[in-house]
Amino acid sequence: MKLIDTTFIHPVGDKYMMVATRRQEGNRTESIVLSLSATAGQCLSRVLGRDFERTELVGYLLEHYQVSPEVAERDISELIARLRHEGILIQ
Amino acid sequence: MNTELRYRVAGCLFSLISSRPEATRALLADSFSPFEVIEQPQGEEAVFSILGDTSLSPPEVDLILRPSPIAGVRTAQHEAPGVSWMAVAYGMESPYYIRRLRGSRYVETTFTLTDPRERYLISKVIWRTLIDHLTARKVVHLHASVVELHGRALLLLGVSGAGKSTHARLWQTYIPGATLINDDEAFVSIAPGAIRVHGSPWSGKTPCYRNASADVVAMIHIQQAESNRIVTLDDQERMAMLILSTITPDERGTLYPLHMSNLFSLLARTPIYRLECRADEEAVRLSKQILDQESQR
Repeated sequence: MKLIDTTFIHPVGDKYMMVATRRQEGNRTESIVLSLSATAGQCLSRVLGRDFERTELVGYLLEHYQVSPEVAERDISELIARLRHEGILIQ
Repeated sequence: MNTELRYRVAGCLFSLISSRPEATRALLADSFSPFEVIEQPQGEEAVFSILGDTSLSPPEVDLILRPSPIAGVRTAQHEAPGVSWMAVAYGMESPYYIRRLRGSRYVETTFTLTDPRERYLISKVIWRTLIDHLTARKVVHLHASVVELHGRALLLLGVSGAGKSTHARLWQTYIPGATLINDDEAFVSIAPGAIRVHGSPWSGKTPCYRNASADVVAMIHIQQAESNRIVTLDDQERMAMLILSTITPDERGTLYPLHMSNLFSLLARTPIYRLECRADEEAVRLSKQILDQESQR
């Protein structure tokens, strides 16, 4: 899977902001703005502009945060579902 | 013999090169005259120069004109390595062509630069070209009405019809010394020491073409409501408001990442509130309160 090429992730205060622009019907564009936790922002910043697997994100959480495998799996699943719902994730 | 007419908007020097400068100057009318640079700036060249009457042939690719956000105007754009093309036309009329070669300051066009009928389209081509150049200089175009008091500015954002121009007019009624810098076509420069707003030769409902600038204190999203109150926005709402108030460059082009970076800089350094309001004096007092509070920070 991959985040769409127009995705930007930027720290804002103690969170991260994600902005992506996608082309709609009739050549119109739509920008999506999402607020991310610092953990999600840091996690996704690592995979901007390239293909990645969900196991990579889970592994990052386990390596850098004191979470159980179950919690890491659940958090990444929720994050991926949210990104898919917003149309920011392809494949 | 050609003459170069120079203008400076938000710090960016640009020019139009014309064989009949008085006709071109008249074409641009009063809205551009406050921005004209009469003296040749020492050692400074225009960032871009519009050339008229060129023997430009249409590009070999088909430029399919589509309705644009500008009422009654169709536009088309095409990017190729080293060159960008634009076509603009009134309704179903034949288009004018505009070609920009990468690395060249010259913008070749099929405009005569003297026919009064071209005025609106030329103005829009300058507007578009200027926005592109300013994006690379950390300047953001914002659809905002700008009120100023003693060198400090509030930027009023909102969708068309939200009441930005009305609120700005009420400021001038109820706040002694308040002035309007621009209505809906402002430029905001992001420098290390200051965020400043600049007037422009373009304007919205209230004609206002002042060559003036001021320090940006805060932005306020104006929203009509039954009663007046200030609402604090979260970062997501603030960013969405900024995006809605700007012209997003083609997301496939090189200006898109620069534009987003500029918006994040603005977001980090400029407070943005929402004012749910009626069109009355109390609403103005509330937004003045924001100006006063943020000026003391």
